[in-house]
Order: sequence, then structure tokens, then C-alpha cells
Amino acid sequence: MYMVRQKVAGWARAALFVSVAVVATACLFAVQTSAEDMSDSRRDSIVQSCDSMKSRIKQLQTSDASIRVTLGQNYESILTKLMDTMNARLATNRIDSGELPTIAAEFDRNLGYFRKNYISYDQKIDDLRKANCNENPESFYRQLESARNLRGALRLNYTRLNELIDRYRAELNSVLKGGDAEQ
Amino acid sequence: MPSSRRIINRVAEKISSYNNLVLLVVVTLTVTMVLLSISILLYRASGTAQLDLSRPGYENARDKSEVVRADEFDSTGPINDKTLKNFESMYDSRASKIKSVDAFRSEALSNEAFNIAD
Repeated sequence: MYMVRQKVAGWARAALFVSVAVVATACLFAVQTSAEDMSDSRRDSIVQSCDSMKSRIKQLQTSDASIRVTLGQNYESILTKLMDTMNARLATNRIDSGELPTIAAEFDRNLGYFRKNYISYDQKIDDLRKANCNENPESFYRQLESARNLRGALRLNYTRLNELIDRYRAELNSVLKGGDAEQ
Repeated sequence: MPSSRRIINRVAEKISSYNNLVLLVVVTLTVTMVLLSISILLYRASGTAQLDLSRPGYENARDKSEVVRADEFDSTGPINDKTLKNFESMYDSRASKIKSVDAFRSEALSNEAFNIAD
């Protein structure tokens, strides 16, 4: 009985190994196939424009860094020096601040997402800048698509933060009008 | 003690102290490299690297960036028309700076921007 169990365990291990190998080969084939799906015109245009693309990516990275610093400073300033202090001042004056603390908390949370997404995006742009678009245009294009997705996420963060800035302003007006009405 | 033995002992002491010195230098360098590696890892992973415009190649970005004035709205004090106007002025100024940037548009990484054919 023990010998039978040993044999079964052995067959099971072999079957597992074979299935993993088959799946890995299939994945590799799929990746290669998708790489081969790139049209010749696209491949040629990437190879031809390689140097100018690298230069453009470097410029974009520099410009994005400046924007990131500007946005970061202004977002921080709005959150800590304006939203939080206004909320505290309203509390000191015993005015019901309504949704203002919630909006400020949501702003803080989204600011964290923005910071985190920017790190990923910048690292991806760095990888893109270092990628060899002459010898491996397929890999370069995949990295470019990945960078686009990350940039899209940043754009969403930026839009959301701007919406929260407007919402806080609107809610503040509403809170203060409501306070006036009660008085 | 014979003089040769004394000489051998002296040489052995010198070698031993020399070995200790070498060991000290090697250990110090190793500890320094480890701490330096940790610092660089933290610098990159924490997001500080992305905010550091003093890196080589970011001269243009340094020129474009501006120092944000440290406007502060006091967390204590009355809420009246004057303080509200002050707050609104600071808030709207920050908000308009943020919106004027129109950041991270998708066109910058589009195929058209890179002259990549379909």
C-alpha cells in the first residue's frame, strides 16, 4: 500500500511539473506572438524615431518633475495651511463645519494616491528612457503603453483633487450661509 | 629570550596590528557601503528622488519651479467678512495655480507625439 502511495505521489509530482512547463511555454509563446503582432510600419517608425523619442521622453520627464513639485507644494499648502486651519477655526468658533472635515480627509487620501502613483510613473518613464528602442521596439512599445496607463492614473488623481478643491469651496460657502441663517 | 625570537615576536606584533588595521578599514568600508545602499534605496522608494530637482539634467525644471509663499490662515480667531475674504483670496490663488497647470494630459505620450505609425 505504501509503495502504491509512493508511486501515485511520484506520478502526481511529474504531472504537476509537466503542466507547469506546458503553461509556461504557452505564456512564452503568447508573449512572443503578441510581440510579433506589431506591424512592420510601427516597428520601423519606432526604430527610425528612436533618438528623437528618447530626447522627447527626457524633456517630458524634466517637465513632469517641475509640475510635480509645483502641484505638490500647492496641494500641501491647500490641505495643511488652508483646509485644516479653516476646519479648526470653525470648530473654535463653534460653527458646524458640515462635510468640510470629510472633504479634507478625502483630499488627504487622494493626495497620498497621487504621490504613490507619481513614484510608479516616474520609475516607468526612467525605464522607458533606458529601453533600447533600436534593438527591441516591441519591448519599448509595451513599456510606452504601461507609462501611458500610469500617466492616465495620475491625470485621474489630478482631476479628483481639483474636484475636491471646488467641493470644499462650495461646502464652505454653504456652511457659512447656513451659519448666517441660524444667526 | 634569544634576539631572533625577540625580532620574530616584534614582527609578529607588527603584522598583527597591521592586520587589525586592515580589518578595521574593511569593516568600516563595508558598513559604509551597506548604510549608503539603504539610504539610496530609501531615497528612491520614498518619492524624494522624484522631488529632487538638484539632480543632473533638471536645470530647466529648477528654473521653472517657483517658491510657494507660506501663506497661513490662522486656526484661531473670529470668522468674519475680513477673515473670509483673506481665506478666499489665498485659497483661490492656490486653486488657480493648480488648475492652470493642466497636468498629465495623455497627448504627451500618444503615438502622434512620438511619430509612431499604426
